[in-house]
Amino acid sequence: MVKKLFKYEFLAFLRVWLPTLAVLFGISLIGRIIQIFETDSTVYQIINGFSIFTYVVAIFVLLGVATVFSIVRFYKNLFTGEGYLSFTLPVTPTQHILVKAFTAIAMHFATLVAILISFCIFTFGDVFLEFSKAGNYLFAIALKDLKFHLIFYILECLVLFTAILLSQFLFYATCISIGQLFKKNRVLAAVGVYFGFYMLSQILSTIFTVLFAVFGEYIPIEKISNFFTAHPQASVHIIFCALILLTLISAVIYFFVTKTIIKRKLNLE
Amino acid sequence: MKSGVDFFLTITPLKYIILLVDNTIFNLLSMTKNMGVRILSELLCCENLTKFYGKNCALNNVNLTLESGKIVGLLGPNGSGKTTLIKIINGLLTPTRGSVTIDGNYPGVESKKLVAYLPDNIYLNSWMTITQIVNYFADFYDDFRPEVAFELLYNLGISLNSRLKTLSKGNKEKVCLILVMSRNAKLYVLDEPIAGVDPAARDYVISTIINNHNPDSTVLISTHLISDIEKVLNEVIFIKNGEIVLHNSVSEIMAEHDKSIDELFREVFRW
Repeated sequence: MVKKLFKYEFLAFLRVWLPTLAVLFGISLIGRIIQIFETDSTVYQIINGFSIFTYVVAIFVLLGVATVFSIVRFYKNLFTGEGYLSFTLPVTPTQHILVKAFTAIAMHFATLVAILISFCIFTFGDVFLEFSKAGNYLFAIALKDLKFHLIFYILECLVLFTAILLSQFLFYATCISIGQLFKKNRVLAAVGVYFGFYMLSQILSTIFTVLFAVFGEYIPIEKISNFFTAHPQASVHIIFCALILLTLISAVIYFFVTKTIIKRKLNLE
Repeated sequence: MKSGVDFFLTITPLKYIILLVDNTIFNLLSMTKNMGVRILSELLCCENLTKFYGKNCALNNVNLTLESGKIVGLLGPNGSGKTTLIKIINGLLTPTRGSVTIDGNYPGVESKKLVAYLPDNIYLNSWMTITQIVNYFADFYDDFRPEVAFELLYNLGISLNSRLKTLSKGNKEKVCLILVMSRNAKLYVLDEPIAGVDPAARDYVISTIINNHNPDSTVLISTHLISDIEKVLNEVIFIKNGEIVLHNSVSEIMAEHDKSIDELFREVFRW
């Protein structure tokens, strides 16, 4: 059943994502063609400037589509009329939530790859070669300094990015689900919950900062600082792992809140 | 000429004892058999089902048992608790108290494999084509019969390549009904299938239900348009203010009250 859920999630996603991707690739190609006719004329500078601006906008639109569509899809497929079908399929709420979350993550990664490809198209030729050279040079330096740590840093970055995407998606899912507990204006309530959470996180971080300032003397900052200086590469690994763990803990909390609401408090309009 | 045993029975008082034991065994066997049949055919079982929305009681201590092979009308005015009961059966609501089982399963993955549900709104993905929707049902429900769905859609004259959003409201409702009735389910739960459709379409809806449901299954139809549907019902349930006030077979109700179901409904639910 999970495979089938994935199939229809991707179908729904690609229906919106592919046309946007086609537009991005089209803009990249047009931009590259314009660059062939490079001159010092003002007209060329205006047209080229406009094509670069359009290209940057198209990148943000594609990123926006991946994020906004994943949230809209979660809401529409589970909490509007479509929910009557989704929740009468022989699948569990956990499968619904996780399939939607991992589809959103996959589509964000696909978006990044697509942006990279569009960049290759946009800069195809000498500019691309210059970028490649610069990239290779930086990678070689990093590899020389960091050795095998670099590979782990890249892997940790990817895992952290995935964890952030998962946590963010489940955070939005939690806001939408809490919004469903209201009798009326449930979408508005979900937006309110989002800002409520945001304010709460700001208050908590302020309290944390104050506590740190007050009780800072009890924290062995010097020892920590010495450890960081003595083992800089290991410290980066520890920081990455701690961030991954914290992000995953928050994702698990959001997941269980969403699942509990769907399982116990679901009441479709 | 009587056999030796018969002769023995005719001349001794033992025959009475033997006949008594024989009758008792027969009765016990019959009882056990009937119980077995009853337990096996108990498809839907609601026990002390209660649902509160805040302080409002939508269902109050509902006890209900439905057997297989029946067409049952769930009849009640608006706000009587019909949709709440149906949503609980389909696992779309959690009861405040009590339990519901479908063929021995609590609402969940297993029960959803057995229940074909038609809600009172359009619940399909509007961007999908009719073929995609049929394939969607075929993918998720093992008991779905695509050939039945395609035949019914063909008879209705709906193009398989058209997207659902391009169809009229009436045709969308018919597509939903066709998909539900194309399942070979154990329990069909139809929430207001004839509400808001013209009389000709009502006949189409009723005939689609009658001709396509699995004969061993039970069809639970919620409606308040009783005169259109009472001729096909085997049993009726009257629900009022979240309580079941009547549950009996149509023939017994008509014999007892000497009234049609529609007339009795108007009497029971008179303002």
